[in-house]
Amino acid sequence: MMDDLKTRLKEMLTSGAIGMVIGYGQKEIYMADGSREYRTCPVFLSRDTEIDRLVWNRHCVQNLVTYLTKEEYKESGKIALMVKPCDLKAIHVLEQEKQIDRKRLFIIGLTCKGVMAEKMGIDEGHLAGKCIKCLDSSGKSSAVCTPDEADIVIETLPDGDMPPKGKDISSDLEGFEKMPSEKRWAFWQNQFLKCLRCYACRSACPMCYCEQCICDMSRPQWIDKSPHLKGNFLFHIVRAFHLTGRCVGCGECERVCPMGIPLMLINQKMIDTVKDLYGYESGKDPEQAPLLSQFKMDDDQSFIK
Amino acid sequence: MKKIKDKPQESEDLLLEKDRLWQPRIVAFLCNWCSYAGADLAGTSRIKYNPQIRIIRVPCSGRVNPLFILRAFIDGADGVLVSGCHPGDCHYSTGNYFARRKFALLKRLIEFCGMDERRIHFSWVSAAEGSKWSQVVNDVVNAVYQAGPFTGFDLPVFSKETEIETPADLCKQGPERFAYSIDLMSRTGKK
Amino acid sequence: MQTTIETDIKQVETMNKQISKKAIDAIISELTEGCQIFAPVVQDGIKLYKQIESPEQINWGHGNCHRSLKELFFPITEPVFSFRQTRKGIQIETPGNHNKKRVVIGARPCDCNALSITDKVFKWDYEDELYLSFRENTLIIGVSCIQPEPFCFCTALNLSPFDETGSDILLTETGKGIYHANIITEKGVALFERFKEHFTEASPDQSARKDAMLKDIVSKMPAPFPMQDIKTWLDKNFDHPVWEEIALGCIGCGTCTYLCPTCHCFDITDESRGYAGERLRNWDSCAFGHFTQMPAHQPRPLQWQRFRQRVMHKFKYYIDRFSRLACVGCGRCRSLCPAGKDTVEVIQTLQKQIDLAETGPKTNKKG
Ligand code: SF4
Ligand code: SF4
Ligand code: SF4
Ligand code: SF4
Repeated sequence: MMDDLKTRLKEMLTSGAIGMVIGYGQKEIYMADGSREYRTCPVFLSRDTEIDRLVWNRHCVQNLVTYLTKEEYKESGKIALMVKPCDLKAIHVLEQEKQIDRKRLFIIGLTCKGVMAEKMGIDEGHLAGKCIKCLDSSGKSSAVCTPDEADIVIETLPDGDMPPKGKDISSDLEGFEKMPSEKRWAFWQNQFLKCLRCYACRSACPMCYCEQCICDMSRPQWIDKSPHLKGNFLFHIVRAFHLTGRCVGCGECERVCPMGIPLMLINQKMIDTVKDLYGYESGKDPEQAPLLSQFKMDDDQSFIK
Repeated sequence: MKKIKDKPQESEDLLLEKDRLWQPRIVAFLCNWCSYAGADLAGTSRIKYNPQIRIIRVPCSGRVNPLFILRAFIDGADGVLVSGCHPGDCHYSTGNYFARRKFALLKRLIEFCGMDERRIHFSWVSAAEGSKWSQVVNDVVNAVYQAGPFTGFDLPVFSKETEIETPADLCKQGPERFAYSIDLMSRTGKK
Repeated sequence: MQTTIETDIKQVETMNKQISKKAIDAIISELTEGCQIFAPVVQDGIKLYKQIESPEQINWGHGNCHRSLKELFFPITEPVFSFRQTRKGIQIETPGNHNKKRVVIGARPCDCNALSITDKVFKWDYEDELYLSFRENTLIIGVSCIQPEPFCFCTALNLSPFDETGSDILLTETGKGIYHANIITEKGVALFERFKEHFTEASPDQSARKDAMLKDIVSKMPAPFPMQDIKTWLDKNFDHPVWEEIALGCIGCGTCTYLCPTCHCFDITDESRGYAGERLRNWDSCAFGHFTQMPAHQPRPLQWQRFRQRVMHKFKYYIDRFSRLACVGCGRCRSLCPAGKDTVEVIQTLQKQIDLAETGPKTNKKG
């Protein structure tokens, strides 16, 4: 299957039908003890000779959709992109928000049975939190890229046995919500104090594509730029709010955070809230109206006096 | 009167300076067409209500960016009230419907982060509801009063005597001893 | 490439002493009165230099802190002055120098060495009092790496895991609970004089053991890269097409620069409330799309240009100015880059370019 794909991509590259393939590849890295290890990372291929570098394994964690809205990749002609079923949702949101042209994309849909959790550059040895929901008990993914969304579907699953499941984000969330409010506030105070304001979470998020982020504005300066408690709190609440109804739960923000701040806790809460209040799921359908630009007459207003 | 505040800075409210007792500071965002007129009516009808509320007039509740609310807290408010026209009465026909979604989500979000729910209020008050306005204000002031001064953005204080158990239990971590940055941050962190 | 460091840190002839773990703990306990002690502490899964109150809090484990030592001298956010409008006009207050005595214990040699790099910048054409007063009042007790982390590559840059630069005292664990102590600077001597009774003379076999350990570790770690050749190549190839390729994948998150112990860019921002406010100095990163937009404009609109800037700064510009590299091989950028960009890989790619340029590719491939 992978071979078919590679032949096809090679043809497309030579004929100029696509300009670049963004996928997962492996590279050799040099370790301090003199050994060499392989690390899965995104690869950007524009020559047909390189296509053989593509791989599909459990370490293909990164959401490559992020690159679609970056300036540097807009000039590359049609892009062939390796997309996991969960990443597909991000494409839907971008389409919904008119940020990408589906015609410029060649989607290589992957059939997935879960990827590994990665935090602060370290493979945590169990499945990513987002995958647990997505997999049914037999260990198959319930979300599969279907051919009508993807231009080509890779049906081969990555090799290897099922890794241990690890913790489920929903149970974390439940436990967290049981705590009294002061404890919750104190928890976030502690977490946000660590934040460097490197904005890696923003750079990695496929939905954070604004050319001028409100966090960088200085006139007026709504959000303190300095990484002190107030600025960090405001930044994090605003980040979460701007992603409410848009976040697809890909987990990139938490994965890239060099300080290990559990951002998915907030994101998952908002994903659940949106579903609970308005029955809305982001990234489900590229045609649906964005959550905050629609309303229903009978939206909940029990909290309004 | 719960807590005596430190001597307020020159730029702070005169009221505070006068009695140096804690009074809640509540910022209210009122839409021009209904709630603001409602508050006006309350005034002209000489209805008495608590004075701890500072009103900011906005064209529509739909204009209230959630950032306004957050910024109010950052800049030292103890509570926030947002009030607009009843659904169906919006001067711009649908502004308050859109606003309603934003408010519902924002409220859930910041309460999830641990904000006391007594600090953030929303209401629909029409131009004819002077007495409802005074009732709403009194309720809000009472609620914020009970919640006490908002210290959420003061740095967590860790000292040997008042070992704060909250975050420590939570993340199984020792208390934050960011002394050097606490030192620096407390200068900007103070209200 | 690594020329000697001509700072005015008063080096003395290194004294070789020996000290037990217990004695170190005793010294720390005593120092907590009157001094702030900073040491690596593991908290919530990450290791940071934090203020501690008792020696038990110190994490003596291998590996480096997630955030580098620079944050103790060049904090992530720091007020430069505060201002206030009064009836008499605008009042400005400066926070003054930092003059609390501080001791850092457990810093890794690469982090300490990196301070000698930031030192040069902060006392170059302008003497930065805030940074320098922190430096002046801090004594650093470094700890050698007897087990480098997977991503370390200090040896590739001609540094050593037992490097003494930047530390006032360097401890090396030569046996269980036994540390070999090199006393390097005057500050170190002062501390030694104060706690003389805890130290013993290093026995010759301890010193020999230390040398053997170093040799063993270095033999396993990467061999030096030809940084001089790379510098020569960088001098000429600012516009080389390979840059665009090298940088592919970088998302501009700034992780590499924020965590780097030698990166020292900062941004100035004013924050005010009502009639009073503060001017703050915060970390900044050349990887950001809005870098330097505040004073002028962003001269590097595309991410690969920004990536090139980082490499150039470390391996060329800094050498031009201060004749040494601005990288200590701590490996933070390699291990934490979310897109798998790797500084070593960059150096190797450049090496390949050099090989390509000189016809007849010579194999220079020890990693
Ligand atoms: S990636 Fe982490 S440290 Fe960086 S800004 Fe986001 S939350 Fe803060
Ligand atoms: S906020 Fe985080 S989880 Fe949500 S879409 Fe962005 S990167 Fe993914
Ligand atoms: S950490 Fe990696 S992705 Fe982030 S700016 Fe540095 S090189 Fe780019
Ligand atoms: S460039 Fe990377 S390896 Fe070099 S000092 Fe900075 S973080 Fe460490």
